[in-house]
Amino acid sequence: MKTAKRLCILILVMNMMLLSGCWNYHELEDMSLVTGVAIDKGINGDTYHLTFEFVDLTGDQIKSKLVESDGNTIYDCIRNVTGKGEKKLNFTECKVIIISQDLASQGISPSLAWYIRDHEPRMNLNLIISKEKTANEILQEKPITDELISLEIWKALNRNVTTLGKVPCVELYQAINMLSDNGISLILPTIRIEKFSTSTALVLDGTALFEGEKLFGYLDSEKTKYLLFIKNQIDGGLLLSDNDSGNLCLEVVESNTKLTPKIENNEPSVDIKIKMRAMLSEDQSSTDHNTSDGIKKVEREAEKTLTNSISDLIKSVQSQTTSDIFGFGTLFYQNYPEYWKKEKLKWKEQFPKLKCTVSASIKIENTELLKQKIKVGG
Amino acid sequence: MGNSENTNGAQGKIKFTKQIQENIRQIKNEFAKDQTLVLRRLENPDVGESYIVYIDGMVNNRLINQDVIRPFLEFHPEPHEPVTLDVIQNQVMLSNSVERTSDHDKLIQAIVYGDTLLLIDGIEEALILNTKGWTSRSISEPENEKVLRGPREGFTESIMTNLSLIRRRIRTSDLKMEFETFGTRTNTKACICYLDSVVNKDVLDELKKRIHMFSIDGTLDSNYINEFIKDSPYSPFKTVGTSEKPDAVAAKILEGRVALFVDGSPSVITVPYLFVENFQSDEDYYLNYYFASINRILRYLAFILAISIPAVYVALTTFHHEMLPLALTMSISKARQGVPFPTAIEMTIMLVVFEMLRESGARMPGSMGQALSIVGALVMGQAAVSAKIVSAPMIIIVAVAGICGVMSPRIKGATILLRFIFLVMASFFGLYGFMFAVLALMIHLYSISSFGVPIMNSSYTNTRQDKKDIMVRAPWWFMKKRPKYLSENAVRQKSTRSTK
Repeated sequence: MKTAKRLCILILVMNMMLLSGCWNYHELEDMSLVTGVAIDKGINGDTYHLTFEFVDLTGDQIKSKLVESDGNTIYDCIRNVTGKGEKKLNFTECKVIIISQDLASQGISPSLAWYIRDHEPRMNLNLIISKEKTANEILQEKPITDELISLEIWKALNRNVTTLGKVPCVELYQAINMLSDNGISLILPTIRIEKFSTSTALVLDGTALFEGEKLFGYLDSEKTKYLLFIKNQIDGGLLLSDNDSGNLCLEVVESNTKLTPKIENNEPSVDIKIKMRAMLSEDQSSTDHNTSDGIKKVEREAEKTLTNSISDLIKSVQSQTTSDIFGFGTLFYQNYPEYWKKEKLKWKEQFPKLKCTVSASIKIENTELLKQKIKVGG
Repeated sequence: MGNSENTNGAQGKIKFTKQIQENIRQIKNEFAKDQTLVLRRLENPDVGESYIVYIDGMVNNRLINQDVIRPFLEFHPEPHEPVTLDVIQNQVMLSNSVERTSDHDKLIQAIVYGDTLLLIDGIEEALILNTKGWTSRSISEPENEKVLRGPREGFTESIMTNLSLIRRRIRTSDLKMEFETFGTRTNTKACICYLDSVVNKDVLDELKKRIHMFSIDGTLDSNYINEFIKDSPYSPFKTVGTSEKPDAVAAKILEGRVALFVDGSPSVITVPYLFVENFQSDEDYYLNYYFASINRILRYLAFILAISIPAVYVALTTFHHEMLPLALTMSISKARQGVPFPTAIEMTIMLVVFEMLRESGARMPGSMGQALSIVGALVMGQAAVSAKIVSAPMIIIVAVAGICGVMSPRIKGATILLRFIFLVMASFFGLYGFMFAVLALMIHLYSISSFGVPIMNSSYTNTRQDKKDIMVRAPWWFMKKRPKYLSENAVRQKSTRSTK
């Protein structure tokens, strides 16, 4: 009896281990680690043309290797690679997906479906739109600092958040959320190749704007910065402000944007308040601003620049599209659910009419190492 | 001692008569074919024909000459005085311990343990004189419990010396020492040692009960008894402690533990044995408590690493690639190019090879050490990697596991076993299997106890006094209480640090 009991427990315990989840034994060297994928429209009648960049382990150094494949679905393309003598592709370390603008203007969601359905790719990989003719060209570029071009793009995108603030950094799960939400439209970073006389380089360049799942336009990088200010995604970067006598440059230490939706007489409006701490890092004007009055003056001017630029951006977006790229609709969903329930489907009509008031308060904390301007001949 | 069967010869018991020649014949019979037995005839006309009986080599010859033979031969009583055994025992013999008996077992025991028998014509009893004198190893520092600071004395193989080492440290009549005998053939002396006012009586009674429950023909080391009395005999974890250092054993007795000394063994048993004792070194208490605490935390960390790092490596590289950083994945993947064995097999081979190196290093003659380290380091390490038989990260993992494994020598056996169990689980089921094994280990650890005290004692409660000697070693003035359940007298000292 005791033996039977023990046997039962043993079988149950074994079942717990054998019948659980999905796991498998794979040696690392039996697979190719994909770091980046470029998705293009198919050429010879196929729907897709995919370019994979993966880590090449033959030879002494870690190198990049590209393989291209065609197919009717994304997964089809991925599996077709195996037919070309390559190892099985592994997507656990995939960092970026580059989508060509042709494909994006037809609709982006079919190309992303596999990446969220399969267990291997991570939900936090970065999406990016190629401004070139094909996405493939981007991966064909030679990397400068890294061994793999897709890693270089990925690092540049993430570095950009704290140093530049001119490109949005959108991860796969965020893109999916934006796509499925009525109150916000999808935006993605874009990349293009800059040609110099002897060489070429990749440049992150502004924002791709979507209407639904279809690409319809771009914002340049300067405007993208103000878009990110509205979205409260500025974590660094510079703010240039015009002065009568020359350019002033502030470095953002911390910036906080508060969006307050209001409904008055059934008319929605949004109040945008930006609170920013900054350093005066460059002063090219002719007057010396390193006095408390001077600093205050700089602050006021920078505030003016910021509010004006943001208002202009909102106005121009509202005049061009019905697509709520700022995500104002989400604010109403969060704060006025009853209103949102009624207006959800009509938001496209509401958005261009939405009134926005912008105010900014900038505090300059220091002037870095310089106490006085450089005196010439003085 | 379960000493029911008579194992001392087939001739039957010695029964003394008034005829000395008959008595001598009986003793000779008992020790027939034993040529170390010495029978020395003494003739004192005032007393009559007498014999001393002892075993050569077990006795101190000078003691016999000076304290037994000389006073006996020089004894000339007044003519009217009757010569009785009492007179001889109390007035003549210079020996410090003289006992009279006619009991068979006692006589035999006395002879084989280095005492001398004095038989006198016409008396039915014999005198047992303490003349023990054999050579034993001198007190030296134990090889495997070396310390940088603190007492360096170690136990020897002689039980009386060992007891004296304890007595010298705990000078109180409260220290009790009770003798027992083990082994139906070896008749090994053992001694239970404890502080009467401190010890947990339940533990003491349990120990006494257990040592009377088994029967074994010989106990040559304390481990013979250890395995009979330990709780959870199939567990790889120790539930009975051993130490070769008198200061460590004295400290344990002070905490309320019971020590069991076994003659012939320098390792002294202490019970109950808690899990934390695996990681407590006696040196912890002699060094600054910050330093001691760091060392102790390192020991815990090393134990965890030693049992789990091979398993985690296999799980991460073969099941959960996504949990490794990309740079690490690339370098491991690169190192594994062209390696013939799967990771799990490779790891098993390397761990087995490491254990072989360790075992051969532990017991080989000192002169071969250099050869072994060359073979171990160069051939096994460097050559194997450059020949692409094993990958370089594997060597690092095995080395880390190996180094960590020897950091807490007291739990070495369990470490090796657990390491392989974890590895097998991780090879078949990945981290899921590993976690399964960890859970099983925790359930096991929390379910076993040592002499009624849970071995994970004090790890599941959360008072500061309970935690003072677990992960860290608190300063001495903080150690006000003894570990829970170890003692009936919980308060150890009412110490307050003198402050200005």
